[in-house]
Amino acid sequence: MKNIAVELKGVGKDYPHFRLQDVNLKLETGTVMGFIGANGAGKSTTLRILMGLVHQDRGEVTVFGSRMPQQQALAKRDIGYVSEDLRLYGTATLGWHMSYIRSIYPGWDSAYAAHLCRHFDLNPAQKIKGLSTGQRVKASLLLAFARRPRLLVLDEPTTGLDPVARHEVLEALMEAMRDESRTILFSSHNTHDVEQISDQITFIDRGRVIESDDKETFLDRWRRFRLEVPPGVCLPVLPGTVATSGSARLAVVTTSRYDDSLAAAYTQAGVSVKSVDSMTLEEIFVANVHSKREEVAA
Amino acid sequence: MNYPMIVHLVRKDWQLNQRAVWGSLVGGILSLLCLSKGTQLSFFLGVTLLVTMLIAIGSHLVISMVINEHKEQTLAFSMTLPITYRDYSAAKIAALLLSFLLPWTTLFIGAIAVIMASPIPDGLIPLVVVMLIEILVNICLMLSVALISESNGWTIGALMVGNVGFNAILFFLANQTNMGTTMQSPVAVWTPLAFGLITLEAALIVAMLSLTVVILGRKTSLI
Repeated sequence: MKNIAVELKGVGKDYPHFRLQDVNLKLETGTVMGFIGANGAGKSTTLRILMGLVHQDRGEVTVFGSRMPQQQALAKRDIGYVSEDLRLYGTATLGWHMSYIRSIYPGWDSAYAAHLCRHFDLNPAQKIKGLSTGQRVKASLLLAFARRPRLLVLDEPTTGLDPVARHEVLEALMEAMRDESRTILFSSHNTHDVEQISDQITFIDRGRVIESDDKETFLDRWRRFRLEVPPGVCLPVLPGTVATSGSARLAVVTTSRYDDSLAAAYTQAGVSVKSVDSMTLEEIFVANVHSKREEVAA
Repeated sequence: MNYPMIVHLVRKDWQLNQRAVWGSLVGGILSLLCLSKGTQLSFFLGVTLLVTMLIAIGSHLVISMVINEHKEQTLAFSMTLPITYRDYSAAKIAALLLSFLLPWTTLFIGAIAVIMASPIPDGLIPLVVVMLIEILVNICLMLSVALISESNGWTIGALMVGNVGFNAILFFLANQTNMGTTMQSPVAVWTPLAFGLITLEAALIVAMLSLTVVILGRKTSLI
């Protein structure tokens, strides 16, 4: 059995206009989890709680066995954190930041830092205030990666990056993932990025975790049926149906519990199955969010 | 408390702000040179420059070390290091006091030495001591307000309150018979009022900084 790197149990946090409710997450060592949610869904709040930057009002958080926020100083020795709202000191150079972090973390890997400098096309002698947005993000990632942390927590690291910079960052992330003992928690509203690197996916919406599973299961379970419903035949509502759209004759059904028996069930009911389409993670996310919102509204 | 990390944080703040501290020290030494001339005009210029220099460097350090960390979002960078917010707060207080006390102590000793060595009456020494400690109180007030409120506006407000307080105390002391009359004396006269004020100032510094640490220890959202 694998070790648990991160565990959140019944975590909640109340703000005047936002509530994070009953977040339960478990991340095994070596897992890459993509944390997907719309803006304001609660991704950053959850990750800040995980880092001890925000203290939860309810629930328990442990990182490598250390309770957060009480034992955050111990836990943060093993965490590299990069967030879109984390900035470096503008008047200091990247080289100064590298020396500073090296003086704190004994595991700092100078050779890897130099490699990342080349890969990200960063100049250590340059002041942070002279860097572009993309370069600043890459500088923050370099400082987090070269510590060789056991856990990387990345809050929207690719937001605001141009396609080339985004590709470089994802490449560096994939490189970091080669170390199988490294756990990565990666939040984004860009499902394409998450789909590329994650092996576990968690959806969050309006302060609640709405679903969490491994990526392949998500992609296997979710399908879109294009159906032709002859006159006089009633379209059956099969288990796992999340949404039905289209016309009375040509229906599009989204299911979250796909298996081969579903197509047979439609055929048996007199409905002709025109196609069964795979869904992208983005389509799954949007369908999931809509269905959960309708459930809550009902 | 994680003392090795506090040392790292203090060193970081010192490295980022040392140029301003050295600059203020140079300005302060110029003010002492003015004071040492002994004329009324040079005395006035020296005192004005000395007070301005200390208030300027103190305010700069508070704004740069505390307010800008929030405004420029560099606080998150520090808080991702293996520290608690208590360590961070203790490091901020230590870094600011150390950075400010370097020019303050130098100019404090320098001002007294200049008064003793020049034709300026030594009777001014108690007043100078009380007023220089008052500047330290003002900077500690600014630091406490900045750390607790994280607000530029409140910090500027604290600076204004401090400056009004400084002038009010100066006016009060100059008009006190048991202190005002001893200012022209060739020797320093330490009245109970001077001792009382120094004790009150020291108590204020300790109370403000202790209260700040207690209040910050209760914060639940750090960035």
